[in-house]
Amino acid sequence: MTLAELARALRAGELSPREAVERYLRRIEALDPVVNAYITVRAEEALAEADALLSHERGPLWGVPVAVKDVIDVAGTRTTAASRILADHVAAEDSHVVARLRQAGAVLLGKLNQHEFAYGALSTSPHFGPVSNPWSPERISGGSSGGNGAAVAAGLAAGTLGTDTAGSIRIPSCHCGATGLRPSSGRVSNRGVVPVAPTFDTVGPVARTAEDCALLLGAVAGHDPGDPSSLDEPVSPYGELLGGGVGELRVGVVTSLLEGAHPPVAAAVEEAVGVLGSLGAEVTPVEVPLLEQAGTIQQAMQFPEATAVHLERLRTRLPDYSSDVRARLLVGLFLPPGVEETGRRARAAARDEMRRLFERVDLLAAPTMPVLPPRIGSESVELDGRETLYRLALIPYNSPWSLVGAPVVSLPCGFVEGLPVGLALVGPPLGEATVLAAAHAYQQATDWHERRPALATRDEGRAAPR
Amino acid sequence: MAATPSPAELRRIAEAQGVTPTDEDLEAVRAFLQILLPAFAELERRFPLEASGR
Repeated sequence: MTLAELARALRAGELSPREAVERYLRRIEALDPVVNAYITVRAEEALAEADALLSHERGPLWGVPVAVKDVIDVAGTRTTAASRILADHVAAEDSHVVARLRQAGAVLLGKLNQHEFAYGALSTSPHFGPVSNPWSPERISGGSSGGNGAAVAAGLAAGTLGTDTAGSIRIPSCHCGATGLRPSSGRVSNRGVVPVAPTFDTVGPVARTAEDCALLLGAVAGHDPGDPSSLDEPVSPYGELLGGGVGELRVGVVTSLLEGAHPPVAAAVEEAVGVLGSLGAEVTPVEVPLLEQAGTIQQAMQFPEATAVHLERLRTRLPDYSSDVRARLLVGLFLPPGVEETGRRARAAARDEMRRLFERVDLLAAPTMPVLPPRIGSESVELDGRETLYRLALIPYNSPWSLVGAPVVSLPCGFVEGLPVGLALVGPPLGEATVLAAAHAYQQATDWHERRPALATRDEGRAAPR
Repeated sequence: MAATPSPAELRRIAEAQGVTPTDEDLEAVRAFLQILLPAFAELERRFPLEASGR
């Protein structure tokens, strides 16, 4: 059952909020010992909140059990960021997005596992254990929002919110066969969210379908005067616009990213683009300006920003970081003066170039990731016959869109070696409605998003809904 | 700009900012810097301050 289907069933009185929460708690109890998607399960709190909803107005997410990445504050619940340093940190207030979820009627099931401090793509925190990919538990789920992808694939929440700085929503969505949206920079408030690199950080949904993502985004998008990075721009009715289709759209296929991907992954994405064409989209090959430099440009700002966020803790708690996160955070201490400013100049140029590109096309299409997820404990993958560091392989597929603040949806479009492959659809800044409508049209024509891992279906009898 | 500093130089820079990394930390940092510093130098050449007009 998708989030949208569950929301409709709840509103129709087919089940109560408490029953919905109880069913997910049973699934978490049965499956999370294998998946390790959750750091904190709010069982008692969620049941009480579900009961309290009976006297509330029925918002669009009324009674829907959702979970959030453990960098997003929920009042009275710990926000660990999968770190030792914040292991006992209890949030005093709800983050803006959690407050908005509550206004829409959602119930907070718990906090999801991730890469420590959301600064990496493996989601193998030594402090809280690795997140397993429900499609192949010996492999990573991606990251940094790895618990989000795994929870959605295993049916451990109806929907989730994650964060994305340089791919952290898209990567786990891709590897876990979920649908995830990185919204435009500033579209969703970051207040009450542990930062990575503030000029790139974005909160967004990971769920089963584009329709689910539209519902979640509609609940949390909008201006927050308490967040200086928040845009004061109107919010589109994403759910109402889902039926827009792709018939009028010009879709530019990023050929260099297709050529650089593992061939079976590229083939699945090409087939998906063919489906968009068969639905009426005008498909043309395009080259994206500054694509090769995008990762370097983002890193020129991301490294100093992240180090600045953590500087005081680097002075006092350095041994408490895991080694990979510690190294990344230390890098920012050693960059020559002027690197960050150079990055800002280059980002402005990239935005100008992208603006011009989006005068010629409405959407860009590319593989979300060029490779399959590595096994837990490995940090390299084979690409083009060579061993490549996973963290380097992902950069050209994710940074170009983060750099310009564009919305990107990753949606499942096939399988290679039994593992999901993701199609990325990129829109111009604030083009979420177009991106989601195209993803929805694709999902109306295909069934990749309906496939479930064996792990998630084996206990179906006693743990519905799936 | 593109040369990677020695571990001793990195330690001096870190300690000047109040941070005390281990030898292993500095080796890991050098692996990053060996890739990043040449790339940032190229970026500076491509987007020089005087050409930006900003």
